[in-house]
Amino acid sequence: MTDILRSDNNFILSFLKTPEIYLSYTKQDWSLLLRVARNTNILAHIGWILKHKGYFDHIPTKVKDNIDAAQRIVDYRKQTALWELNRLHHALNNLNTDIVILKGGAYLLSGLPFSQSRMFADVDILVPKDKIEIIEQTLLKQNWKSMKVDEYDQHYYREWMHEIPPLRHVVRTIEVDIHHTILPLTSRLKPSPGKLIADAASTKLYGFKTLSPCDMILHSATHLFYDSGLENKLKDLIDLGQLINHFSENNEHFTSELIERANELDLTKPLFYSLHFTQKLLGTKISAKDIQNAKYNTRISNVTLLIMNILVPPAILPEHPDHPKHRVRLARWFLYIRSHYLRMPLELLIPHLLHKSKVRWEARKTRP
Amino acid sequence: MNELAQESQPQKWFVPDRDVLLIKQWGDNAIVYHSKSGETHQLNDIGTAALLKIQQQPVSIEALANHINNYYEVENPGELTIRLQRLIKEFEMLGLIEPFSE
Amino acid sequence: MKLGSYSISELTNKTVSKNGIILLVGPFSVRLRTRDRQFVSTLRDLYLDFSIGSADKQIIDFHIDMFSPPNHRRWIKPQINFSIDGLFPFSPFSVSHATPLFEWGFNWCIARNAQNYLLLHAAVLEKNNRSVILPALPGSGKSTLAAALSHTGWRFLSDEFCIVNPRDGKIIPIPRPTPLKNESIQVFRNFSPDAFIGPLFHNTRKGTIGHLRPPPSAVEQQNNPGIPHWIIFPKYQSNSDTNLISLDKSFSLMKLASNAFNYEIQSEIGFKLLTTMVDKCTCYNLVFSDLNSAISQLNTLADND
Repeated sequence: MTDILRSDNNFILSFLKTPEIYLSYTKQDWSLLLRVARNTNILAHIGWILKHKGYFDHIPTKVKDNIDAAQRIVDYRKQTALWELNRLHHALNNLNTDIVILKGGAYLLSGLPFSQSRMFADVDILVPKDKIEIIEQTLLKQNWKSMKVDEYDQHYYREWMHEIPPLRHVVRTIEVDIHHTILPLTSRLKPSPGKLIADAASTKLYGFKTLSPCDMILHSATHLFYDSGLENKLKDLIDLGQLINHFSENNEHFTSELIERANELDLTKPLFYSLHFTQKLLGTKISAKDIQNAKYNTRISNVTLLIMNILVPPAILPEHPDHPKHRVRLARWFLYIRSHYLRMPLELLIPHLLHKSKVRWEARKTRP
Repeated sequence: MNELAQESQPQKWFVPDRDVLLIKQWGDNAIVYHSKSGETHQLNDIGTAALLKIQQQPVSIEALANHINNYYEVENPGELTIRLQRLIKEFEMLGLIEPFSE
Repeated sequence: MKLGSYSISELTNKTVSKNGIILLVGPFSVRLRTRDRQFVSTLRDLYLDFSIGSADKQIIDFHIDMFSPPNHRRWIKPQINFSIDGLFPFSPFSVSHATPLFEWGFNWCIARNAQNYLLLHAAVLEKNNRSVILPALPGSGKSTLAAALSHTGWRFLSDEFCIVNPRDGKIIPIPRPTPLKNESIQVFRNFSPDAFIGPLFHNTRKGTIGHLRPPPSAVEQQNNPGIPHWIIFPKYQSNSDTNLISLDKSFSLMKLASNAFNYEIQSEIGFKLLTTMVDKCTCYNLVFSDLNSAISQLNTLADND
């Protein structure tokens, strides 16, 4: 299959695939790496790779300084998130309900090495649907406040999305997103939240749980390929690559287990795209046979795959900041529409996009 | 069960992980950095004495009042207990201390 | 090569090129591209003694573009944008205000990205190899006092950012132009008639602004760090006598921390750096209305302490 955008030559991918390339870097190359990595929120991750490989001591001081700066922000966010989990534990302990930590928080609680340098913003938790109301009420009584006040937003979250509007404690800065399933209620894919919670793994921290390794990957995969426009989501693809690497390290059957679980949860398509694109773009070690097996049950046609191969790399990869390209914008626009189409049936999608553009229009009008 | 325990023994307070509190004293005042929340607090003499004591070992408000009375000759011990109750509540809200159960 | 050794045309030829010019300011290297000749000329006046680097010798911290937005207003009321890597942190300014926009944008880049340092909001000066930190609280008169000190024998390290290096607790100088505001422009002109102040920018969000060019020696010594010795909170109070009052350390620390750009982000490192610094420094409040009298107090302090 042809790669229109020759993603194999991409500057940042070359580093991620073969960090040793740093040995040949000129000052201009370092400047470009810092710039692109900072924009993509992966500068601390770049630092982690360099430290992990033992190269950090050999790079220019200026690069170290910039990486240190990025790592400080990550450390601060991590501290904030862990403290929020501590406070949530105090507030919700008496309810005796399963609380599953998702995404960045979960990677941290599971002790995944790359999570030490992974930027994250909010705390995401998954709880049984019948407990969500009491959890929300309990938190509201203890000074967490609902972030969305617009009536349309309230309705949008509760009716169509897979969460209640984000909460934030009055004296803190971090948002808590409480989900009762991992995809919007209206989405085409319907993984059973009961199955996810039943398989969740215990952690050492406050009795919180995390998804099982397979489900962690399937969750991340579903979000990236079925709940986002992929725009500037290289960081999320890196997550997938790192998770797959980590869990396959001591378990040669891991990918087969992953495929089996995807069949069970009806998430075969996002899994296939994840394996396909992490292998293709990041060089994640996945055998051709496993990728074939993953594709087997998806009914993804060759035409669809061709289109995805054309659209995904330009959308997901950062551009050269001095030379933005039209086709990138176009690819991102197609994928944005696709993500909304996947998230909700067409009769809901059109009013939603109209509302969004109306809000944007009004925001523009009120600008000074 | 909890209530019974409270009746037979006064509630004690403690600092969950002692080394998460960094305390820098200047004279009677102190600056406290709580490395879990990342917050920095300024404490006056009584606040400093109370927190240092709780950091050492779990104590009740009564024991705390006695301890502070030994250091500072407080004019009105009844008022001190009320002040300490408020202080403890604030410390707990900030996440510096937690109720202790044996 | 210094900015001042190029003509305006030579500089403009560089700033319109693909690679722009690279300014070396304090610990930062900034690539700047712009087509605005007027702005380049002011920039040259204000950053006269700073060096220019080259892309094959310097790794760049901030890539800043100052270009006009592509819209119809170009012909009616020309505007200019500040952007860094495709981000536009501000609404466009009138093109005549390019210099204050650049200065604010540069501040924004530092405050947002330079998290490898503890960034206090303060001016820094130095005498006898000992630095004084003048924190900027609203209405403190810090910039005027700092500017005056920098023209009476004190080394000027910074007006806006007190950059503390976590490796050794020393202060990294960044002697950029000082923005003087409103009445303080005239106050300073009376104080030091020979000092160079760039064009005045009226009706900015901070009123009228004129930038004071830093002394050449301050720029020359921009790579020599400062050692914190005094923390002095200036407070301009009209018609008051000059009064230097010593200040409680824990109170000084809280004031410094709450007014800093990134104390929280520095977490434990920030606490340790700041307690060590406050421990080593003597702390004062300085109430003043007359610059000469305030300076003579500070000179006495510096020579006898």
